Parts: sequence; C-alpha cells; structure tokens
Amino acid sequence: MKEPGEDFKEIEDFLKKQQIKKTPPELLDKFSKEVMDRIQTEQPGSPWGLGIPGAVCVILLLAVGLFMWGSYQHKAPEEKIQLPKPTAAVIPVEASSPAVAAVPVEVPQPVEISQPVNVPQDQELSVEETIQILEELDEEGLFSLMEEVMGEEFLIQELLITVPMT
Amino acid sequence: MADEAEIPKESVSDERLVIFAVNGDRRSFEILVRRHQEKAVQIAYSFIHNFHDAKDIAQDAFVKSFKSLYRFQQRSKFSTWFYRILINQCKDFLKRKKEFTSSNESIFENIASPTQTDDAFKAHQLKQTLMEALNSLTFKQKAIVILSYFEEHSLEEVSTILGISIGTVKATRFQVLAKLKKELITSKEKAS
Repeated sequence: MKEPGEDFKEIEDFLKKQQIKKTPPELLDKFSKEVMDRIQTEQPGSPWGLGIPGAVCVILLLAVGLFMWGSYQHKAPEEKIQLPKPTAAVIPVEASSPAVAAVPVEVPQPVEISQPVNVPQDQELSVEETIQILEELDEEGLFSLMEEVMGEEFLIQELLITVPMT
Repeated sequence: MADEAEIPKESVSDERLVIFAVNGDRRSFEILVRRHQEKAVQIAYSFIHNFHDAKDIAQDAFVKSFKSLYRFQQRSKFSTWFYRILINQCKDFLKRKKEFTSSNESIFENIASPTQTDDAFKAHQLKQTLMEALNSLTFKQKAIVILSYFEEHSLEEVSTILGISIGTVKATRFQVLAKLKKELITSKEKAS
C-alpha cells in the first residue's frame, strides 16, 4: 500500500536535485558595499517610523505650535475669539411617558418685591410719630396703609392697641 | 557596548547581528548582507529570470529590511523574515512590469547540450519541460516550489515566508506536484 504523498516522491526527488544557476561573482563583488551606500543616510528605523528627519519635523511643529499658543495668550481679551455663551437647551417632555409624567416638576413663580408706601426704609419712627402720621391719615389712607403692612403682626397689634378705633 | 567590539562578528548569529544593527551598528548589518546576498539574488533570479534585475531587487529588499529592522520580532529566523520581504519585492516587480513574460530559458544549472549523450539529452528535455511547467504556475505556486524544493525550506518556513497557513502550503504543493508530474511523465514518454 502506498503512503500518502508517495506518488510524488519521484517528482519531489527530481525537483530537489535541480540547482538554480549560481549568481555570477561579478554581480556580488560590490553588492554589500552598494547596499551600505544606499542606507548611508538611513536609520534602522524606530517604532515611531520617524527617523531623524521626522523627529526634526515634529520638533519644529511643536515649536511653532507653542509660539502660536503663547502669542494668543498675550492678546487683549477683546481680540480673543469670543465663543457664544451656551443657551439652556429645551428638552421636550412627552406627557405620555409615564416615567417622565410621574416626576413632579416645580416651576418657580416670579417673586415681586414691593416697597412699602410712604414708609421710609432707612429711619425708624417713634410710636408718637407713627400715631401722629396715622392721625393725619383719613380712613381710606389708614386702610391703605394697613393693607401695605399686612403680615407685620407686631405693627398691626401696636396699631390696634394705640389707635382708638372709633 | 564594549563587549560587542570583542566578539568576532562573523561568528555571531543573525539574530544577534540584528540587535546590534538596530542599536546603530552598521557593520553588523553589512555582515548580514554578505551572508545572505548570494541566496537572495538566486531566489530573486528564480522568479525574474534576469540576474541584473534580480540583483537590484535583492538590494532593494536589503534596504527595505534595514529600514524596518525594528519590526523583526525574532519569532522566526532572520532569513525567513528577510525572504518574505524579498519575495514581496519580486511580486511587486512582476506586477509593475506587466509586459514581463517568463522566458523558457532554464534557471537551472548543468543544462546539457543536445549534442551530448542520450541520457544528457533526456535530462535536458526534462528540465526544459519543468521550466515550461513552472512558467505556467501562479506566483504563489511557483514560490512554493522554489522555496520547498530548490531552497529546501521547511513547511513552516514556507508558510511564514509567504504569509499563508501550513495547510494552504500543503494543498497548493499537492496540486503543483500533480501538475508537474503529469507534464514530466508526458515529456518522458515523448522522449522514450
């Protein structure tokens, strides 16, 4: 029984006997010298694949970049590029989404700050002075003033005590 | 690097010479070139069929290998790695030179003259048939024959050099042998 590949033993032996023509010696005379001349200016290379010319280019690029960055830093603020301020993004909320709808959203109400009418802020009045001002007020003015100061319980109590309600 | 200078470089292994060369020792690379130049030209010649072009291709391959020495990971022999570069150079050359047609001029040694004895004449005819059969092969098939039989590289080496699996090498070699055998048998029959 023949071994696998035995069919080709004869042809393999024939092929192995063949010898490729020898290189003419004159071609090899200066071969290595010519190769070494060609790689005279080359480097064995580096993992960066740069070599000396590449490294010089990178250094130059870095220097130019550094110079440009430095000169930009020294510019007046108005000469610098003004970036637009970010605006609040409006995110549409779909009420149909139960997860979103379940989250209570508190909308802050605008707060109005009103100055009390006819009452100077930076000076305190004595009780006598207050009574005098109140006595000068007619009924409508008195109620108007009371409306202004609603919430200031102390003052109201003072008024109730000291102002004879006739 | 003091110890480097003391070592006679001619006796140093290829792989150590590569390390020296990567570290800037050009003399080590020159030794590598001298060690492999003859084989390199011969392999290129077996593809190109012209010694002058083969020499240029071999030189290009050495220059290219020098530039990418850092990529040599020492996972294979230097020669295996270098032959891969060389064969790629041959392939590129043949692609560039589209008008190139393989000549039937034998690349083998000891071609007997037809005026010699009958046996010599038969041998001459067989070699001629082999050349014609080789020229009809694809680049990959031819490379497998050249590396496996004429250069006697192992299956693993052939697979590494050509960048294909061992299975592909085996299968392709089988196809090629079948084809060559057929051609040679026919030629023998004609001669007898």
